[in-house]
Amino acid sequence: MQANMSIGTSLDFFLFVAIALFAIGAIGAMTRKNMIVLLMCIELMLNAVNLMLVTFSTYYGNGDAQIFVFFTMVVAAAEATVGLSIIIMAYRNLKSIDIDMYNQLKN
Amino acid sequence: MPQDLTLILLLSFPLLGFAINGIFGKQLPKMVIGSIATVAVFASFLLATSLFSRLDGTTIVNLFNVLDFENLQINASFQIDALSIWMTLIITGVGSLIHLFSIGYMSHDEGFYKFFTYLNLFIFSMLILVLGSNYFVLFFGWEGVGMCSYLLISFHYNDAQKGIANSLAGRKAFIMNRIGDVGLLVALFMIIGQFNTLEYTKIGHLIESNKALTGGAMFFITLSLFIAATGKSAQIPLFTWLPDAMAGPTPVSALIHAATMVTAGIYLTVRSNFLFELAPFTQNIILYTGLATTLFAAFMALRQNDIKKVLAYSTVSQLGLMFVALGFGAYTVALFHVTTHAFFKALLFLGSGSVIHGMHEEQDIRKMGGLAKLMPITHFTFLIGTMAISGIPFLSGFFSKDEIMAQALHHNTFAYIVLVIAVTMTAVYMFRLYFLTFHGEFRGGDQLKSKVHESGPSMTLPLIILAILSIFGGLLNLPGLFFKNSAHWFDHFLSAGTFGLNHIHPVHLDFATSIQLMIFASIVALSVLIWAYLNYVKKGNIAKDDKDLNGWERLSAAKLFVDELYNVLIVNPILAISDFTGKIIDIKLLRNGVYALADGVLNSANISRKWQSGFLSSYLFWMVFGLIIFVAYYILKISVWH
Amino acid sequence: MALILLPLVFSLIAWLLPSAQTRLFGLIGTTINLFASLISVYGFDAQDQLFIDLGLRYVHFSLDSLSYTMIILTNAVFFMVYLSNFKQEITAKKRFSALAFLMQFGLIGVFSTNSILGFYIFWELTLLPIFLILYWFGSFEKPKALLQFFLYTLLGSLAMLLSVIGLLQLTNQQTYEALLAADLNAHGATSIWLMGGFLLAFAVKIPLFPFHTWQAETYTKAPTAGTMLLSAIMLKMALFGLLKWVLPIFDGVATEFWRWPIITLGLIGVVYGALIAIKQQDLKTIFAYASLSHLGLIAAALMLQNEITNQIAIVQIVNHSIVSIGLFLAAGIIESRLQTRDITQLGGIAKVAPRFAFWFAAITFVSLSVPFTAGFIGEFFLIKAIFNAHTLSGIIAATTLIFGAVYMLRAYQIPMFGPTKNSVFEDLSWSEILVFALLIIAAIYLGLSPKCLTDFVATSINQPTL
Repeated sequence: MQANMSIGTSLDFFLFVAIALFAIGAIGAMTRKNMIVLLMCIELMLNAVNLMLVTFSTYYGNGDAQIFVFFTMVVAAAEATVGLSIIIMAYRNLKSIDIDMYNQLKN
Repeated sequence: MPQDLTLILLLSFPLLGFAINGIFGKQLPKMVIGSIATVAVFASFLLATSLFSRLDGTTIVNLFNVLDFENLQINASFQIDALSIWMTLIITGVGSLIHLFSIGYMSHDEGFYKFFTYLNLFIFSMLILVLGSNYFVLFFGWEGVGMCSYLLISFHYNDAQKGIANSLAGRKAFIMNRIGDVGLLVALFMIIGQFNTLEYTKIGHLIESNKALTGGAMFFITLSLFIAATGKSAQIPLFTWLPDAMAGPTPVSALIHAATMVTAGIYLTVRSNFLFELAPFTQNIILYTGLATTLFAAFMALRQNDIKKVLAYSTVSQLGLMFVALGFGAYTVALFHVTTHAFFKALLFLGSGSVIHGMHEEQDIRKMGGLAKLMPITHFTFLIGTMAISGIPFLSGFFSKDEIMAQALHHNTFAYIVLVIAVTMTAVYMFRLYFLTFHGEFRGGDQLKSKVHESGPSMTLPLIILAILSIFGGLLNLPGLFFKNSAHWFDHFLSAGTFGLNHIHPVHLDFATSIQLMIFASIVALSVLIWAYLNYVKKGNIAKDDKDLNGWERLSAAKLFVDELYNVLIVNPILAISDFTGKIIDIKLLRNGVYALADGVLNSANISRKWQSGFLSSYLFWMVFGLIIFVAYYILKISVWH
Repeated sequence: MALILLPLVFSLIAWLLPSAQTRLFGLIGTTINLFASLISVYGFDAQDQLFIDLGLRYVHFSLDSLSYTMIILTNAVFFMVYLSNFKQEITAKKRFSALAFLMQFGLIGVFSTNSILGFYIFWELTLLPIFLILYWFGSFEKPKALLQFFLYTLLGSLAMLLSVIGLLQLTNQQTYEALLAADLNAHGATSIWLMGGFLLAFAVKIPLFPFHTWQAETYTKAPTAGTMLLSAIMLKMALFGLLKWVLPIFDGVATEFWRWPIITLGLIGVVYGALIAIKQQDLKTIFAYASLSHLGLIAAALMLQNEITNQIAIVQIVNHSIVSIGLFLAAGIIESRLQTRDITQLGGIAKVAPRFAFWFAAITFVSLSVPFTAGFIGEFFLIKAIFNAHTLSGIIAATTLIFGAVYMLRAYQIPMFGPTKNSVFEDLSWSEILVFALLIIAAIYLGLSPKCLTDFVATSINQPTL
């Protein structure tokens, strides 16, 4: 694949941003207690991946990755919808959206 | 009738009696049951006499093949020769008399049909034992009589007071017999190993043609055979079952423990004479065991107060005497004593049965006395039996004992002295028994005295017949002093007709020594008779109470504490080991050990279970962590490590 | 083919039938199975070997005289179990019938399969039904004991699975003939491990000291039918596997290595089981330890790999089944009439139930291996084989005669004789008498003419050495 210099050395910048976004999203998903924040973090991770895909697509001048971005966005949207519905149902159940309260899968 | 058919019928009659009485006994009237059983045995006796008259060498009758392997065939086959037919005559002859006696004796018993069923089964097993032509069939009969002995000893298991004791006595007999059986089993294994066959005639021929078969193997084979004989014939150390076996009904004691089953050990030894002749060391063991047994058992009999116990120890002692003869290699002499002993011991036991019956189940001789006038026939026949066993001259016992003493005198003076002591003691306790039972004042109370009566003809007839046999039985094997032509008839008859015995003849003493021996023995016997009469009748010295016994007498009455010794040394330790093994080793050690292992698994599962905390964040954390490890590994693999 | 599939079919039918008919159907089903096997063996030549193709790719079947013997034994045992438990509630339960037939299918599969994978599959197949039977119908207060049995057996089977996999890896062969032909001695140490895996499974099943701890408790607390099935036929799978599969295939390095350890364990079991049985108080526990004692002898004798001994071992195996059914039936009868098996609470039953006293005595004597019974032939030759191999061991094995007399007579005499403690005791019903009679007849017939069985199985047992 022919490297397109149109981004050039700023490839690193894009990658750093994407990784940083991903890391923030991951750590947030692991540590935050609020379920909605959890969803937002997941979205963050997904968007970080999108960014990285687009970056590499431009870098290699290949449109395949950009098509994949569409897939990811659709999945993200669907997942957000389902996730929010689950949060609403869970809230009705336990009157709380603290993720630590939902531990009945233990043992 | 051809010989094999006769033999098959001979064996079948008791078996048929067993089957008919066993299946239909409950519905049949008592006379029918008794008659069927007695006739069955008597018919076998008649057939045996027929075979006896036509006896010609050794005939083998093969019924069917039990197992057929390349190097070993086992057949259910039987052998008709002098030894087996003679034993058969004793078994069926004395057996039918005892059956007849039992009809009267057991008439009040509710298990009447069962009794005769078991008796017939016993006769059948005993016949198989003596008529077999190989050790395998012998073993069948051997265990069969052991089983029947157990069933008959514990016959009155329902008795309110003594039920458990009876069943324990039966168990003791069976277990001690089994210990001997291990000996027989081991002997059989070794015989198969040496000779590749169990047939007597084949083994005998192999030995004849191959003189090199001596040494260690023969010693162990004969030793194991002797251990088996010890168990069955109640020698030291396996004799304590016999006195306990007196718990069974008296006809059982007469048949099994006097005339037949206990002689199985002697039969085994005589049958295996060609093996024992190759193992002189074992013969010494037999000799000394027999000496010890005859001496100690006679000692124990001196102070017994139960009429049957005296006779029981007397049997053990007489069996010891037979083994002494076997120890000297005088097989025909031993068998002669078996014959005469069958006569007078069965007589004595049946006589005691008649006494017990007349005394309404009282067996303590301290409560008897003066029965001579109340039970005349029983008294007279019992007297004959007592005189026969004590060696009063010219009765049967005199001749058979004399032969054994002659052997002892010739071979081993120490043995002779021991025998003299034992024979003297025999006379002492027998006459003590006789005088205390039949003479003096009746000590059982007036109420009992009025009920004492002589027994009916079905019981007294066998007594009379046995008394006649006890008197004239000695004619079978007279020493060479009288009737030179028919002297030692039995010896010749048996050795000519039995394999292996034609080379072995007991020693015959010269004229002078024989006469001296006989005179000395007669003096001993008669002196004891006179002493006993003076002591017990004239002086009225009835048996002392337990508290008055001195040291020796206490030892004798307590039977030398052998039973207690066995309990301490063997029975209790085994029970303790069983308890210990069951509770400690099996449960604490092994089972809980396995449980501990299982618990260990469960515990580690509990620990790892904590990982499933239910907290989403921790799941995510570990996922990410794992992912990082993976990716790091691959990156490192590609870039850094090669 | 019908022989093998019939029980499976019956299992399904038993599941579907209404409860009222279950008991009768069970009896009919087992009878049909028994007769089918008897008829099919009628025209069978003892030297022959029948190959059956059920269309399965990895599981093949073949029938030779040894398989036939075991199959007939299986069917007979199931028939006896049904007949003897006819009056008990257990046979009226659908679950029991379905499971019993399923187990029968598994057992017949083990005995008739020709491929090692089939052996393993059917072996496992028998485990689940018996576990469920014990769970649903037994009297285990704590599930722990039952779980111990299940997991213990499963552990053994796991070892066997590993060995099977190992075997397949090494030789790439599945069928019996091919495995026999494969030379495992070339692999030395590996073959020892592989055989060890099989032996572990068998040691737990038989059971062999010291893997026997599950036996006493499980036998005691299981329902009578369950105990009969366990001891009369299930453990015969292990002995069969030892005789037919393991010893011939691993002949050489591995069998030499394992021979004397296993014989020692077997002999220890003989004495150990007998010793413990002397002081036990629960009838079923006494018989369980007695079983341990007898099986130790068979296992030890099998390891000697002697032709004659193997043939007699089959006789002794049949005898052990007869004795098991008889003794556990007697214990079950006492339990069903008096709700207790503790001999300290029993006494004088012989007076109130004379028929039972007679048949119980008869089966006791059969278990004591008196002559005229198959047990005598079995013990005589098996002890002889051990004696020939090692004199002292033979004498120790022979002491089983003495100890057997001690504990069996005690087990019989204390409940039966003496003062009567229990006056209400319903005497035997026709079905129970029939079972006892059949058992005694079989024992005596085999005792007088063991030839018919030894000659029948001779070729198929000695075939591997050809």
